[in-house]
Amino acid sequence: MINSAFGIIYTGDNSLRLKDLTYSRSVAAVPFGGRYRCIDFMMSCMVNSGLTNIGVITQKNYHSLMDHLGSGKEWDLHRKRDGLFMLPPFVTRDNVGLYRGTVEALKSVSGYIRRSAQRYAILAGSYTIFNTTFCDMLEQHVQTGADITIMYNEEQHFEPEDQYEDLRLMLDERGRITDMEYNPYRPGSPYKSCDVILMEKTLLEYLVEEASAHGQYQFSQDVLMRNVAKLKIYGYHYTGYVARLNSPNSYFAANMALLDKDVREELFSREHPVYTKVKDEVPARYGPSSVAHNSIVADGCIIDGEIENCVLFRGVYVAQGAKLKNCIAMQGAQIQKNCDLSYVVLDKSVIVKRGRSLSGYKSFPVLLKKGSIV
Amino acid sequence: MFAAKKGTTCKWGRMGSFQNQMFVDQFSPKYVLILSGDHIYKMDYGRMLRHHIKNNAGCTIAVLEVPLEEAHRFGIMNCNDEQRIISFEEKPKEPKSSLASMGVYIFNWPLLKKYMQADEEDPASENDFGKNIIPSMLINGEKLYAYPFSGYWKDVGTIRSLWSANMDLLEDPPLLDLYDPTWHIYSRNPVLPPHYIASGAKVEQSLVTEGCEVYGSVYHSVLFAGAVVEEGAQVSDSVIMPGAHIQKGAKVNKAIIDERAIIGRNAVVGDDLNEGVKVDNSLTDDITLVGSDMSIPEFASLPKGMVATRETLGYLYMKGADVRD
Repeated sequence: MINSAFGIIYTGDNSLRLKDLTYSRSVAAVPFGGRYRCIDFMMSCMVNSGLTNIGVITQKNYHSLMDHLGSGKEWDLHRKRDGLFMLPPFVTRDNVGLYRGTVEALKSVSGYIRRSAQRYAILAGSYTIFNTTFCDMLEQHVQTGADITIMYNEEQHFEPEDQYEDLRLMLDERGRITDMEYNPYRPGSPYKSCDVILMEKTLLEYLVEEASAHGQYQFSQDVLMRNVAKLKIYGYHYTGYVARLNSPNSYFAANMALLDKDVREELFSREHPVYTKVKDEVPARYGPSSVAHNSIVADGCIIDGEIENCVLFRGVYVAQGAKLKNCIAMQGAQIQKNCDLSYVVLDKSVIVKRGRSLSGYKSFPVLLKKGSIV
Repeated sequence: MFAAKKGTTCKWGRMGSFQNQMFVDQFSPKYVLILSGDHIYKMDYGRMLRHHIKNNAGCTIAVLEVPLEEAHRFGIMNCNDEQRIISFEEKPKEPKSSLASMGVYIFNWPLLKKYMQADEEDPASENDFGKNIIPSMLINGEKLYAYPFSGYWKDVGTIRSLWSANMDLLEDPPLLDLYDPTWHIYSRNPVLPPHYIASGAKVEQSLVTEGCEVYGSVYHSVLFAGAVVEEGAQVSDSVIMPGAHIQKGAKVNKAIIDERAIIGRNAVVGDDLNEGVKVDNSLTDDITLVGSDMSIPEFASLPKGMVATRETLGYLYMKGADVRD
């Protein structure tokens, strides 16, 4: 358990990499895995590590994120001392509320960082999904005497389409980072940053001030890469399952990966529960003629039709005679009688009317925007 | 408004009553609403309170029309045309009406307090609402009114009624509407992922909730959070409570499996009764009950109506009955 660290989750990247999925929400608030939002995983990792002070930096479209996190009650973060801090842009003459990069965001929340009493800071993004604790990472950080430790995993497979904030690490035999590449055309290393960075709070404050004094605003390029020789930056090798939601394809694949028992058991391990906002939903109801195979189904669903290889979020209705294969349906989606859908991602409250057929392909799932009616 | 738990047949006892009165007095309420914790229904108590105020009643009792042949199981009200209660009989042998008390009461608090205190001083009293308080209020001419309720209501105080209330939710449409967005049923929410239905699984006419994993077949059953049905296992007409685990090839038929119980491989729960085996099913009828945290061994056969607890299972072992083939 770590009580000497606080967490900062950066949700500002108002990325359109996920296309319509992030049209009205930040990546952190994108629904994932039947009942979660992306940020739930990072929040839960931090809380399960023993952190009690977590700041969430928001920039644009953070309405649904605030609604989701609320007071932090579900993560046991509604506390008198520390707890959950929502850090939306504090708009002043100097700060118009638009961050060009993480450095600017950190600069604008410097008050929060200064007042956090913990010695270490854990900086994290919000589009990587894994379930672990950061205790071993901190232990390694102290043991190696590192200035900065970056969590990474090994990924041999490279898909140029999915490349987004791809920070590659070159390591020496002792785990020290000797070079980094950002979004390389030809990655020189299979070691990919998991977007979790650990350092002493005072160093973080210094580096942010230093970079912004030089008009620099990007954390990876301006802070980490420039200092690779000056500072002792180490990698922490994470060997568990990691998913990165940086394109519609990777979003689709990461959800489908949950149908694999090993992935499910790792992401939803009993020792490290993943917390989320609860809804008091009714259990899912299967009708007399329903057929369900290899699917994840959340509460509140009513299934009278057929589903196979699907991830259904809360309150999805699959009418009699409807067939869903390889689909993801978010909260409140309605699939009416005799529809036939395959490789379709239905965002919240999408309605597919009677008898419609839609079909995408594994490498190109059809994306139906929130609230659309087919 | 203030709510406390008390059944019609609940005895509060001297000390408990004193403590409860102190507790209620902290709020200095005008009215007190008294409810049971083991009834399943949806009711707007605000409407009942308005009814109570409009009648200028001292006590209002919610009533439900029940079939006359079942009336002997309930507290039965006899009312005049204005719904004022004339007489009250607790579990009458020959019921005069079919209006049954639902165990939902609104009292004027000062009035109830007065009667409770008087009742405590009576050594012959059983300190019971239905048997003592209500009758003595009637004798003294207090204004007692009935509040008619219609809709789903079930007392789940018996194994059979608990089982059948669960089965009622599997009707099409369910007898109790849980899907009304303006009337959420709130509960504790376990921290568990959505449930998973495997490739070879069959799930029909059932309720399945978070944390469940189904690899076998589930027909006409209710699965609570974290229940697991392994490959080749069959569950039908049953209620599987949180964390219960039905292992490979096991069969569970018309049963209630309590929390965290494990049904071993190829075991049969709710099996046909073999000759020579006696089962005390006075509480269960033909519903088989497996107690919480029980572990039913592989290939065991639990006959219909059995209550499997540590004691009864041990007894069957000792008898050499076919708990194990």
